[in-house]
Amino acid sequence: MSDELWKLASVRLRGDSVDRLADVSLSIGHGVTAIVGFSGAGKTSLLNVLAGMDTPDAGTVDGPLLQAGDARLPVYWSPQDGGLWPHLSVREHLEVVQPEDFANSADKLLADFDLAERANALPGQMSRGELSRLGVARCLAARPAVMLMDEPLAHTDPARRPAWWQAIRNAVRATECSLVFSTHEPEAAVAESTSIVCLENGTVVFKGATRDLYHQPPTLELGQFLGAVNWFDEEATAIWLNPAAELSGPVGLRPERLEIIPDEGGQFTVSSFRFFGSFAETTLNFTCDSTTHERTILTRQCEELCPLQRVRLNLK
Amino acid sequence: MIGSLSAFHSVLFWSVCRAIIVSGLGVVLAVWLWRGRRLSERPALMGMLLLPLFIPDLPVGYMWRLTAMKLTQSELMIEVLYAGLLLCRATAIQLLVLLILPGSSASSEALHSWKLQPARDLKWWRGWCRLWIAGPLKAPVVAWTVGMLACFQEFEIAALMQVDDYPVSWTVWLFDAQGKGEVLNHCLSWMLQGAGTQIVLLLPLLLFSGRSQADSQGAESQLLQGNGSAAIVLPSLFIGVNVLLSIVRPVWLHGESAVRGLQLLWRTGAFQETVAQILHSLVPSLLSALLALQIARVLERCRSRFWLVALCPGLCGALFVSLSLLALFQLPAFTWLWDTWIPMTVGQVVYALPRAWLLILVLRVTRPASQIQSAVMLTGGSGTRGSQGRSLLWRLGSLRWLLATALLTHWCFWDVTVISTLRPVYFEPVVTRLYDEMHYGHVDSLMARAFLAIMIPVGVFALMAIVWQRSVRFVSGGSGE
Repeated sequence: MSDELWKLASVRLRGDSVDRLADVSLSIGHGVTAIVGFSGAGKTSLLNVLAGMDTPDAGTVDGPLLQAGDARLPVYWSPQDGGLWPHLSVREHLEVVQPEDFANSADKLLADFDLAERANALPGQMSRGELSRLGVARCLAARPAVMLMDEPLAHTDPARRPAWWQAIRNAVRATECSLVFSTHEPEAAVAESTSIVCLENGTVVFKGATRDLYHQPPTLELGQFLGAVNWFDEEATAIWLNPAAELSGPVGLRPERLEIIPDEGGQFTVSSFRFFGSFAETTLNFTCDSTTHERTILTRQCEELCPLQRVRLNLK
Repeated sequence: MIGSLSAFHSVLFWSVCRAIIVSGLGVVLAVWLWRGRRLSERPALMGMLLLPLFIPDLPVGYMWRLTAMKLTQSELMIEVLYAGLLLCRATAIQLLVLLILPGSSASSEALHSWKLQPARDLKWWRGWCRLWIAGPLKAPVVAWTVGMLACFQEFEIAALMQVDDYPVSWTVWLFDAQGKGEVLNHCLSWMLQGAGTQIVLLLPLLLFSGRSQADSQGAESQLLQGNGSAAIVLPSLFIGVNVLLSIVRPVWLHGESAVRGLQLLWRTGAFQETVAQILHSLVPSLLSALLALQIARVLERCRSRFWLVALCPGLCGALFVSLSLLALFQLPAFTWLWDTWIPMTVGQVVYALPRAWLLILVLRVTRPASQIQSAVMLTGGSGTRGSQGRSLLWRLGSLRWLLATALLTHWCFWDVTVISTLRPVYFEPVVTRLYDEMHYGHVDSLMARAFLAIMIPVGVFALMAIVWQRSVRFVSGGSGE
């Protein structure tokens, strides 16, 4: 079996004013791949091309490249608008797509996605969050070799989302299928994917392992695809990180890698501190040779810091 | 010519006034029918509300001809009756337009945000007006324009109802003038004035359609939002009136006559001949409908809006199309094509093109591509799942295309103007025969022919649907939907 699921070569998809995809050459492997990018970057367009809904204006798309004799449905999806059928109930959506040898999987999926009480509802009678869950549940019910999900679980309750992601994770593991999903949420990309594709203005700007991009982002812009990052260029590294760590050159550090410790003998002074719940934003001052440097540092700390307090920076 | 010109102008003026008033009332009714009802998700209700579009104009005009003849002492009553019939049709078309138009680019919140600004100076009012034009007013104004065009171009009902020059209609006036042997150049001159008037009527559409680029997921126009206070009463009333006027009354008055006529046709051996004539007439209409749909699909995919100018001749109505092509095919370079199927086919395609484009937009809006793709992906599976996918695909795709083709064929089939002006001499379509005979009173055989002309195309398309669905099931291994 090939390591690659899809091979895209010089794919171009035209839009009304600008190309939705511009000269995209990419290979997507087995496993779980996240597609990230800001609004209008081309995530949905790329997924639509992989799903076969949109045909590129130029270039070639090979895939999905599956093992010979794989009897599963090659690809199934959960598009952004659900792609649900208005004349079928929630239960019927699952029953229509499920394979014959898994004919009783609907009840479990209805329970997993908290849709059991809405089993007889039609899509027109459901909320956006319920529609989003049904789209994902239908994709899982189809038990395909590859699942494509465009912003899965969008518009759903954040408190319940981890449980639904767990259901997706379980299904991927149980059926040994691949998953390609797009998301706006860095947490989902980091938690769920092993590979990542970053898109910007219809072009691929990064493709590689999610962990690599998270821990060693090559640039600030790429690092920000996976959330907050403290970026230090060579000069900043010399000022703020040395001699705390023997680092050189530009480096991107996630908030959990840095710690600001109150220290009377510390070389930095707190200018301001703001706590956002999951992270804190602290502005530090450093005076050297009558020049004052200022920098905002993102950390995970909860302990409040006061202005003019002396601190030191610790690298975890 | 000068006397005729003055008469033509007064007729034209009268027609414009009627079109503006009726379509104005129609758009108010359509907006009220639409409010908060999500018609795209309720096809059965939508189908009932759009009923007037499925009933051919010719039989409707004929059914009301007898009533109009009883009202000869009151010209106003004839006008009111005609306007009422037009109102039903205009409202249905305007509902269809509201269905396909993208959401308003100015939400209720956007309007309220503007109102929060304290200064109410000229700049404020100018911005307020622009906001309404780009937002809540856009869909109703476009629907009003389309309704105006439909009313202004109406021919069949007016022609059949017309008693002592009432109701006044420029289309009938021009068609009769051409039929009575008026010089083609005079007819073309009048026709161009009529076309010019239609372009003026189209202006609001052109001005408003370019104002915003809101997509179909945009906020619903504030005018189209509403609570459910009139949710039951108004649609029920509209559907009830349409069913009464278009089905119950004709069947009540003429059903018995039609049955007697069918028996007569059967006894005299004319039944088979009538059926053959109807089927013969159906073929070119079906061909034109298919061609128009294919061209409209290409136009719909064109990225440049410029290509939509191809819809303009059709938007100017059947009479404009007929007389223009009549003049074209009398040019020396094209005379060899006259008296062939080509002028009629071209005429029907041009006439049907805007309607085909409208139908394609309706298909697209009411069934997003992702729903179709979700079914397409299932067809890659084996066993029951694959056949379920094919059945879904039939229901979501093929059946809807067949219905669109049937509706367009129906419109081409029942269009008297293009067919009677451009048909080859050796071809006598059933609709021109019906049109001619309907002017000469009420006979049982005519009722029977009209009944067969309505029912046989419906039967043909129903048969096509059954055969198609069966073939889908057969391909799917007999375990379809």
